[in-house]
Amino acid sequence: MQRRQFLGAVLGFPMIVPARALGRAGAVAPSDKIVMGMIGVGGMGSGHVRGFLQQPDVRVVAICDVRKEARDKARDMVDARYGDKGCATYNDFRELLARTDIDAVMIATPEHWHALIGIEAARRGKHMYYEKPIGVSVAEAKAIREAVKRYGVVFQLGTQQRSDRAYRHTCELILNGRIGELKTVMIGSAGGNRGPRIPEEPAQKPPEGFDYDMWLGPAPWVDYTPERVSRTWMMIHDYGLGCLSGAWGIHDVDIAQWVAGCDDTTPIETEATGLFYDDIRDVAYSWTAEHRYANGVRVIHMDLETAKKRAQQFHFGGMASVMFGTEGWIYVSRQGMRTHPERLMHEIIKPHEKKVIKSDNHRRNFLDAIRTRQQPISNIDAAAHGEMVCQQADIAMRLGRKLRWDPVKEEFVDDPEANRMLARSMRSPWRL
Amino acid sequence: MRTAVFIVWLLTAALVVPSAGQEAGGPPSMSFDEALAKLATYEVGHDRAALISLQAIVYRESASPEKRKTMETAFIKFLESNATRAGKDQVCRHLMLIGSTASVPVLTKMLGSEETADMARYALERIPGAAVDKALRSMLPKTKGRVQVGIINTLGQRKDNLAVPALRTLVTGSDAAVAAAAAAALGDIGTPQAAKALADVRLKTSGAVRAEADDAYLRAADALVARGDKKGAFAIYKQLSAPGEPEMIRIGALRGLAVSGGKDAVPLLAEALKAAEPAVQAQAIRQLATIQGPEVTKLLSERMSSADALARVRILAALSDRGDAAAQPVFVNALKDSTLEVRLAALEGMGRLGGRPAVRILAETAATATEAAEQNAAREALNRLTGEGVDEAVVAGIPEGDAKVRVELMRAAAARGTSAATPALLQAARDPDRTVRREALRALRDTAAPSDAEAIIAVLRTAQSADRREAERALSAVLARSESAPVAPVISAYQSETNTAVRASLLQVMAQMGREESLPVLRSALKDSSDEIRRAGILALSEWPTPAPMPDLLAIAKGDSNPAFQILALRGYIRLVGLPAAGRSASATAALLEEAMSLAKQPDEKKAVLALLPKFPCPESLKIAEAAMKDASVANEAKLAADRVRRSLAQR
Repeated sequence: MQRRQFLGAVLGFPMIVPARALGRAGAVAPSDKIVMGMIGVGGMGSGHVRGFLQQPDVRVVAICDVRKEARDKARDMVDARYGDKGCATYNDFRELLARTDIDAVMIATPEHWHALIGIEAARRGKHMYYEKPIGVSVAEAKAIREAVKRYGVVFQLGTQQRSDRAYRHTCELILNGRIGELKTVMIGSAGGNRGPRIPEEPAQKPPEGFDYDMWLGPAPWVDYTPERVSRTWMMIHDYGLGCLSGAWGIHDVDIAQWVAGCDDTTPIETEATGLFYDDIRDVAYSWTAEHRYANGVRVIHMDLETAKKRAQQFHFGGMASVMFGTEGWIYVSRQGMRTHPERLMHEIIKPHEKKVIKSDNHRRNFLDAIRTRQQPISNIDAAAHGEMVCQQADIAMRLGRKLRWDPVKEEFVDDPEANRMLARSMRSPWRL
Repeated sequence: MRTAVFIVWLLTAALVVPSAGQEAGGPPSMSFDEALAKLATYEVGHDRAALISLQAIVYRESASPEKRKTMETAFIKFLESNATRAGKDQVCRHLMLIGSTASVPVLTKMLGSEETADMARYALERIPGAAVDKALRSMLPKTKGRVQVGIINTLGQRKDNLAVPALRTLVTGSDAAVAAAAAAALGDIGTPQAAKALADVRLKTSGAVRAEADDAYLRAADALVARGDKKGAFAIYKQLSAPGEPEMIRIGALRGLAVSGGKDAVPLLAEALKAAEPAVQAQAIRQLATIQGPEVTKLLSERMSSADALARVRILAALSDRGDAAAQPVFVNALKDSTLEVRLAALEGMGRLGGRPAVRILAETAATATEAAEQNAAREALNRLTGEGVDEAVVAGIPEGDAKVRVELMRAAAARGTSAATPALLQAARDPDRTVRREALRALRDTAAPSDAEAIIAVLRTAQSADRREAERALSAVLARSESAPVAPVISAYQSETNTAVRASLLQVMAQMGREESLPVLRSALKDSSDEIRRAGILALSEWPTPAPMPDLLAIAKGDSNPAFQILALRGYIRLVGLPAAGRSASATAALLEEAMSLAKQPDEKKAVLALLPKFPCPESLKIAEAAMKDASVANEAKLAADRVRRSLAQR
């Protein structure tokens, strides 16, 4: 069998193929490698470049970034790994996506770019490892979801906690009723501390080698200042929701959706309060968002400092989630689990019980999905719905009122102003 | 149990602190009028207090129609003023939320300028009403380039069906960017009229515009499905799935055929099965799988004989997805396929929909497979089988038949935790075939309950020496599973047993259980006349879960006549010193370790002491490590320990 034939588009074949057939046990022939391009190689993206370079069945051939310095640095890393000069660089993602030799892409740009690049990648038949969140509006989440399904490409969101053993065990324990009926999930995300105020900066000329117009892309025009394009962008509403979503929150909201069996739906009611930054940053740094689902589950999403005041378990450590059922609770974080009763930690889930996809490496799970046609563990539906939860919280917080949501129509019920906030007009020529 | 947990839950809930009183952005520092006046001169780099106040007020007041109207009137006046661009940009953001048709004239004026058009659209795109659409359409002929593209995009987002004629004209215009945007907008609008416009002009385009038009046409068809016009959509999908269309468009259209046509799509999808492009062929299989009915199962099954290996894999996966038990013979047949990947796909499918009939087939495959991957896949499938009678079939196969098949069934019973298999496994534990006996004892670890302890003890007491260790492990695993498991049968068996090896095994089981009532029995073993029992007693106490037996082991380490027992006891003692001990200070532990060090004659025991020192950082531990640095046989380990202790002390 020509193994490379597995790489073409069209997702959905749940077949198991041994590592030997997947081409990752030992040496892999060039023709069997998954050819990848990397789009957005800043802090997060360059980490992914390093990660994918370690996969024996991947060949990275292209780097794209609007910062020349970043793309050259990433290209040098790739060339050093392969010992040649085969890696091309691009300022414009469209040129990279037009290459027919590329099977898959990694997307780790600022968040306001995610959906547009993802949609174009889907149209080009590229599978994508896609940094969180899926987009900066509900409309974007819906559009990329449609494109991925329409063109049948593999989509993995970078919510890698699903590939962590403790989170998987948590999910399987809950799905199999080990804490009885799940009632409430409490989340303590990054955030809580406002930190020092960022001083205002006058408008400046962007530095050489940085395509600021392309960096802004679909977001509203605003004069360049260095702080805006530093890591601070994550806390500016034009480019995302900050800690509530892309800067951490989506990780744990994603887990809450997963354990609640709600990957394919969203809450029916949301109430949220928050405190917002008041400098160049304009997202919430401290919040409590309470979501109610049709199945009766409540998800209470908070920053960690607020969460510590609401449940004693958050004093165990850093960012975490606590799942409360009628017969026990589970605390889970990247540092591990604690449970009540304690024996749940060591409970074995039998093969014929409810299981989730076993993934111990998020990138590997993505690559395997390309070959096996299985859905990856952080699939497109989970990604879209997870972000909708965060968007509901942000909008409810800004408007300061309880909002009801129709999970089928995916819009607010009887609140036209809130519904106006489900989409953002894009700067020309960009369009969803 | 339920009540107890609810108490825990309520205790947790009692810690909840009300979070009311927080407000988006906090209370505004300025009134609306003050903030708007300040905003008129706002530039990037200025103080943001006005922006922040205004935002908080607009969000807060947006639910009130009267206040929206008042604010909007002020905003319109602001946009007509000489306020800065940055200030006007902010106002457009607010009009996005609260604007009405009253804002349309001023925003429409802004559409005429490249500098202000984007933010005018930012507001207009989300303001409801036909007046907005009309205004946008009116600006189409008055603009060009980037501004015109933006207006087109907004018309698309607003799904303005009245814009279709103008957009249709623009698709074939000379400006490629405008043409592509117009095609995309028609796709967004997605009405029958927009779809027809795309049908009319799509083939007149080329290059990037054609690519945009193809995608738009596909999206328009998707929109028709959402509107309920499946017939209209089906016709488009049929057109776009034909050979000659771009591969990705065909792939998207095949999905659409299945969604919109259901069974009517079967002939077209069957035709696509013959496509030369593997991705198109794969999509055809995949989409066929979504259509219910026996005819599709039959079609896919029949296709197996002529399909290549890759297609066979995909067909099997699709049949598995459909969950139609009628496809079972296809999977059974595919187990004999010459291609490994096909056999693996067949096993995967059988695991999903095989049910009771698949039990024996999968067990036999696991027993006879020559490829490890195939054997593993068969085992996984067997473990995963669900449905009525599966566990019963697994149990029924254990007592007799081919030994290798019985072994596979016992493995499955263990993996599935099938407690009903325990009687059959207890019987198999006495089977003449050693592989069967061994697997039965292993499986009992997972299937048996503490109430089966006496039956397992009986097996242990009569087990051949080669099986005794497995029996001991099974008994330990079963009894360790519950804190209330009875230890009395184990003690009783030990006391009445005459076979030394069996008694030694039972001591080990008691150690694994770690029950207080076993401790006197283990201590008595240290004084037994048999060296074998004494040795087993030392090992069992060394495994004890608490430091309780430390004095017993220390006494042997210090003064036993058998040097080998001295060493064994010292190792056990050192291990127990390392266990958590409430109320014992690091210095006290160091003193215990110092004594152990003085008794250690061999490097291994000294290294074990040194490895523990960093866990108990104190000046005394440091002293022990530094002293050991002079001993050449452990100098490296001693230095490492000393460094770690020093670091810990320095951090205090």
